[in-house]
Amino acid sequence: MATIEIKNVDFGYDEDHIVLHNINLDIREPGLYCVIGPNGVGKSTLAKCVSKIVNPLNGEVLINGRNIKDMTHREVSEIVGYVPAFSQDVFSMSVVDTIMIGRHNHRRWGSKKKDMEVVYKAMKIMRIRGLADRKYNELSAGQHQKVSIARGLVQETDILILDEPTANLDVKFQVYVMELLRGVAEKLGIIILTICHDLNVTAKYSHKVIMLERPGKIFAFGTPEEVLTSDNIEKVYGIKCRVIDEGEHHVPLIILGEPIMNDAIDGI
Amino acid sequence: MISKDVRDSVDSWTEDISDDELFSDTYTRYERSKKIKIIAIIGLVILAFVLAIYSIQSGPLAGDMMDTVRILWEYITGTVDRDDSTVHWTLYATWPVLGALVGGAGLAICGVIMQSVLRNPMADPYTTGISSGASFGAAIAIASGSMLVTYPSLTVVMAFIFSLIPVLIIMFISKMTNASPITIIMTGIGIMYIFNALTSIIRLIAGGTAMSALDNWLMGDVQLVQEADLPPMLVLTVLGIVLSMFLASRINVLSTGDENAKAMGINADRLRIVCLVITAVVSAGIISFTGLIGFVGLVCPHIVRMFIGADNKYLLPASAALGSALMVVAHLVGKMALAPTLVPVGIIMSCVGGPVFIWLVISRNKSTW
Repeated sequence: MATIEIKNVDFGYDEDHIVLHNINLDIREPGLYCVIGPNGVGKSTLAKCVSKIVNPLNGEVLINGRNIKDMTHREVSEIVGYVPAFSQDVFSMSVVDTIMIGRHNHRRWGSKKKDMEVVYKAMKIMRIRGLADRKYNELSAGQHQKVSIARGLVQETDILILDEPTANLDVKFQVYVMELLRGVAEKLGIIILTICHDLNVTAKYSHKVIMLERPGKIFAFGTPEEVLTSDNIEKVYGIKCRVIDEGEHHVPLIILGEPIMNDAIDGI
Repeated sequence: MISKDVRDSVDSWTEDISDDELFSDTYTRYERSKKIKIIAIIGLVILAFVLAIYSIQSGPLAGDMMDTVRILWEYITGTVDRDDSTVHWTLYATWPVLGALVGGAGLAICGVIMQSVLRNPMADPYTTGISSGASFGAAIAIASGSMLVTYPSLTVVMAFIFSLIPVLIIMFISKMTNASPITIIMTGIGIMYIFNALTSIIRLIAGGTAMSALDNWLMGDVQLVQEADLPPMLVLTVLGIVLSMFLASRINVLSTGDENAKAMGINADRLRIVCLVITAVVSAGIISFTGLIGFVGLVCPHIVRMFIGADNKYLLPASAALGSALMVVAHLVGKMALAPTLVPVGIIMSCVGGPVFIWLVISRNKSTW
């Protein structure tokens, strides 16, 4: 079973501009974990620290008990999959080939039938089977997003990190993708860490919520009912809201009110 | 919490689909497209060699095509009679054509690698300053050679050494600042202007014969290639092709972005530097023998991408073959266009490559870039 331990992590692009301050996090259970917080609070940076895309200034990140500082990129990538928020594909391959790139760690000399099976299954569950032969650059932003998620799924890692997986998706697919990620995490017993902006989607589908506040600190970590309270949302986001206990699963339903224009909260 | 349809989708992730008809159909189409790409590459290689043989036999006083093939075979097996005049003229016409064949392949793969690892459709040995560095090195050699001693190979050596300087500067800047691909290209362009200015200064100072010799070198011509030049050109090009094919999968991943590459276990900065060093050595090795030849490295990868896509496993060999074919054709046109005057390949490539490139840009297909 995969684990993520983040101990006293500070991160900044230089010493004068610290993005993350003394982050401590212990994830030992499989499930869907949503990272939420205002713009520029360090959500993506936290995800990149766990994937060894950037290295913390201080503190340590342990994956399955091993400090990623002592692991190669390759070793980390065999455990942690990462889907960035924006794809930078300049030259277009077919959708199949683009997703097949996610199998890089599983194949050495060309793709095998097994790789194609995994890619096909990812296209099937992301509902993009019909796009298989299309060029990636011909697709819409939402279709790009589905291809990127499929590319993350085919990595078959014990930890999967997705930066804003529902960006550019229509409402149906926002719900579908979040349900799917929750289902995959439960079925395969893996940790899926996503960065989200929609509080209601987060409330409904995440097992645990990590709420970040300015300047790059963890404000709360717990179940959606524990974290997504009107007080917490007002303090962290600067917006008034009502939270209703909804349905048989007692999912918090957040009804947003008026914004509070506050320089400290907005980081100005 | 999770609806039945989504639960079914999740369950399908662990199901065996080897008997699924739609999967078989997708897999068959995928394998067929790979075979078509391989056939296209083999076709381009054959085309390049046929064009090369045609170009050799179209030289002055050479025999017919079968004679050309026989003489080349005898040369390879070491049984050729060099005293025979037909053999002499055939071999005389062969070295520039082989120079075009090898040079075209080498410059084309340099373009593919640079464009992929820098994620920039404009990247080639010119925009990374390599060609300008080589020009400056050649300018020093030609100027000093004409004024001091006659030492032809000094041009090659100096061009090679100076073409590596821009890459060393880029490597240094990358190491210091973790430079992005855009920073690397912009640094390359800056270096290009500096070396171009320095070359102009030498050209002004040298004057006379040296200026004329330097102009000839800057025009780029495979006619400069001699028998002894081919082994180093061939070794560097083959080495470049083999190494880049070995790295093709990793270059594919890097072309999707540094974050993706790192997340997929690739040290993006190191791979980019390794690739730049390979391209610098290969392009420097070719340019130093042929002089400046543009557009092959820039245009070939774009043409090939239109037909077989951006997967570097196929793009690299196909671009190499197309680069060879184009250079051979350019050399052939250069021999015939203003006969008996030989028009350098560099001029033909620029005259033809320029309009082709503009046409590509205007009619560019969204799906290709």
